[in-house]
Amino acid sequence: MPRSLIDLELEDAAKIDPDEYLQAALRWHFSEETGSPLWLELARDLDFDPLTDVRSFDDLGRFPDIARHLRERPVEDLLPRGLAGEPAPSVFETGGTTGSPKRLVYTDRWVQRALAWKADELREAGFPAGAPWLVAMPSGPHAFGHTTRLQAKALGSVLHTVDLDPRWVKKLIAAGGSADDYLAHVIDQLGHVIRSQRIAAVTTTPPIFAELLLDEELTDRLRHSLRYLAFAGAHLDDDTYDLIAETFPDAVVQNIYGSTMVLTTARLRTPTAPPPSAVYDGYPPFVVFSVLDPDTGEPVEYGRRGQVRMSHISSGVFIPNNLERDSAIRVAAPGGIGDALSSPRPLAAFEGEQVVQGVY
Amino acid sequence: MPAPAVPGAAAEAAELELPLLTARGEQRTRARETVHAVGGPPVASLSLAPDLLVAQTLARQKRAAPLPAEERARRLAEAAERFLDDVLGGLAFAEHVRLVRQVSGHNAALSERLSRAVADAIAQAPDRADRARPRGSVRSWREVGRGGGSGVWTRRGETLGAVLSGNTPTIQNGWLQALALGYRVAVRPSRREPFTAHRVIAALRAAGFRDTDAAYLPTARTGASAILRRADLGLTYGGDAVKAEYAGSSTIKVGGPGRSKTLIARDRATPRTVEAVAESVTALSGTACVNTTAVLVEGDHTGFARELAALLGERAAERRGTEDHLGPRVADEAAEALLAHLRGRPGARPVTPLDEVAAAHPEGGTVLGPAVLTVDGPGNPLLAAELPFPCVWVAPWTREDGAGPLRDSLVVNAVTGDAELIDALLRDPGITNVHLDAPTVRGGGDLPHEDYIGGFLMRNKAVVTG
Repeated sequence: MPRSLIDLELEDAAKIDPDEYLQAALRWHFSEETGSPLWLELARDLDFDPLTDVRSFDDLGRFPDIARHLRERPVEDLLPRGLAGEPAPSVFETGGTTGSPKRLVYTDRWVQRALAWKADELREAGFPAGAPWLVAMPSGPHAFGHTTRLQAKALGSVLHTVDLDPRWVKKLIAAGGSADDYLAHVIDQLGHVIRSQRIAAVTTTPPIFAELLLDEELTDRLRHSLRYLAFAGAHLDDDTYDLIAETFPDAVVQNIYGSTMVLTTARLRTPTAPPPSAVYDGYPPFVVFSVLDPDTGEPVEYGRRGQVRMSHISSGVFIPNNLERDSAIRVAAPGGIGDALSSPRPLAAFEGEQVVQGVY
Repeated sequence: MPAPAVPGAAAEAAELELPLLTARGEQRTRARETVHAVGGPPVASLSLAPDLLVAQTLARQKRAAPLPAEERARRLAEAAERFLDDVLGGLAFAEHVRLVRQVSGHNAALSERLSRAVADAIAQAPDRADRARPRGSVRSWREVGRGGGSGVWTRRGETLGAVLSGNTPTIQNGWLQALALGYRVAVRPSRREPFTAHRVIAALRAAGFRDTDAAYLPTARTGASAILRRADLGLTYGGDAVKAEYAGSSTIKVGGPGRSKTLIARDRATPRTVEAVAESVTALSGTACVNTTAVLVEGDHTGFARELAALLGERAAERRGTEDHLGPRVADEAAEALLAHLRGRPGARPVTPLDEVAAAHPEGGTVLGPAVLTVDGPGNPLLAAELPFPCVWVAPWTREDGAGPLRDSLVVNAVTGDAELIDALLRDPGITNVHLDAPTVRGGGDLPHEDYIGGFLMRNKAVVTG
């Protein structure tokens, strides 16, 4: 009798055999007793049998992209029946940058697992655990604001927050308007915190931090206390990183790359590496990346740029084949499951809708 | 004769690296863009400024006070000399002109003439700017006598962002006047011809302007809006789309399309007039907004078109393969696209055979023009088709058609004795400048172009003394 997915998830991640995990996950998500209504329904239209024809992680590309269903279906349809007796999951939404938002279910089991990874990684990066942390990222329907709160508690840091509403900003810009007033509003709120608190860590988007840097008083204040600076939510180009790094020589600067679609951010192979040389790993067998030629769907050569595909496989969620709105350079992954990434950046356009790069 | 190819010259030139000239001096970035000569080989590498650097530069410029007016004028005069005489960024003036020629497609003599005109624009910037000052306004409150009052000419802002196009080196004229008036200027050069702006700013710095006075900030495409957004006032150039984008802005001035026209009244179609139109079509390689793109002829318009085509054809013929080519040298693909644009036009009758419009150049690329085409009536929309080479549309016109067909023009040259018509042209809000029997390309940096730039940069404040 093969072990169940739930049993495997309890193992130490390093000891899980990826292929055994993949097969257990397919049995879980495509069995009447444990699968979600959505996948059981979609399985009927597949031209292959997920229980016998999917032999490796490379085969995940045979599954359809289920983004549309995540936008349209009731959340109940997304939840595997095998988790029926468990606490209700949290629902978080994608940014809504490429059309209407997608909804993802975050089970408590997954949230705890990801939290343990992130807290360890932050400590390893030299995060000033116990010192005040200022986060200006979206909360509300978005996962980032909520997970940082859990991380702050795990690290013993007081959390100060300024909220962002990325969808409103994008609407302003798409309508031909300017985000200037919104940016000023955010900087204003950041100013209150920075002037009154000894902020040792900041997490926000590159455009917001760049705007903050134009305020000399706030920059000077931060320069004395800042030890950790993380960027997420928008592309950080290498030259902007250089300008920021020279302003904060005492701070570790990280670029965080992830996706709500895989329910976590990537693991930085060297947490203290400067962003231009950072390598982003997945968490196989749970979260796996690949870098593909967008025209053929085949992997590009190592060292070449292609479109990023992300997969998430856990007892709560099965996202086998999600094409991201980003390109990245393909790097070999340790253990050979999927790829690692470097220099991720937005694709010019995605699914026919212009990708608006705003403050998030 | 074409200049002989020097082995290794391209590889050598490609090592030319233009740094940013920011408020902190020379800076280099990781984002680079290669500048190519017309016809292919790379000639230089540009550092591109990220938005944050643009914003930081303009913030520093805003905090810096301008040099005193007299010092600005003195240093501008010195900078003009240094522009011509100094080795700047590793280049002597002659080498600079050669680069401008390679990337812009202007012929050798024109590249040199326009580059020398840039030196004039530097030296004369204070005087040119001052021509916009109203008679009722003085330059400083210190000139207002005791117990009196006057308008004082005052800057509308402190920083100017200038997003330049690359069709002529003299595009620097506008922002140089702003500098003369005390603005601190951030220049985003054309990425096709980034050399002139670099040399001007290097010359200014060599002449004692501070790093905060004028900055050189090439950017990727999206960076243009960052410069315009961060500066108090902005200057940019473009077609109808750019014009429409900033139509509602009182702080951004757009140098728009030209669509300049020449009107020839009955009995004025003399050889001298044909000559004037030929000059209007071909001067400045036919790429400028002041080049005539449409000629309206009262009387035999096809006869006029034939005479013009004959004169232009003769002028261009023997010069095509030389460094004195008449029309611009452009990349082969660009030439192909422009010709395709001409070929498929219903209603256009080529007088110059279209297969004679383009000729390969021994140094690479294609020399374009001249092209003369006729259309049936003065209302034909083709008259507004402005192409970046000597290309002119000739249409019939009658007194009854009036000023209407001449609208939407940067320059109208009226070859007519009809004072009423001239009055109508000056009254018409759709006509920017009027020439009276003078080629549309005549004039200079001291005249209004789309109005005096000083009118946009300055305002008049009353100062009353006790």
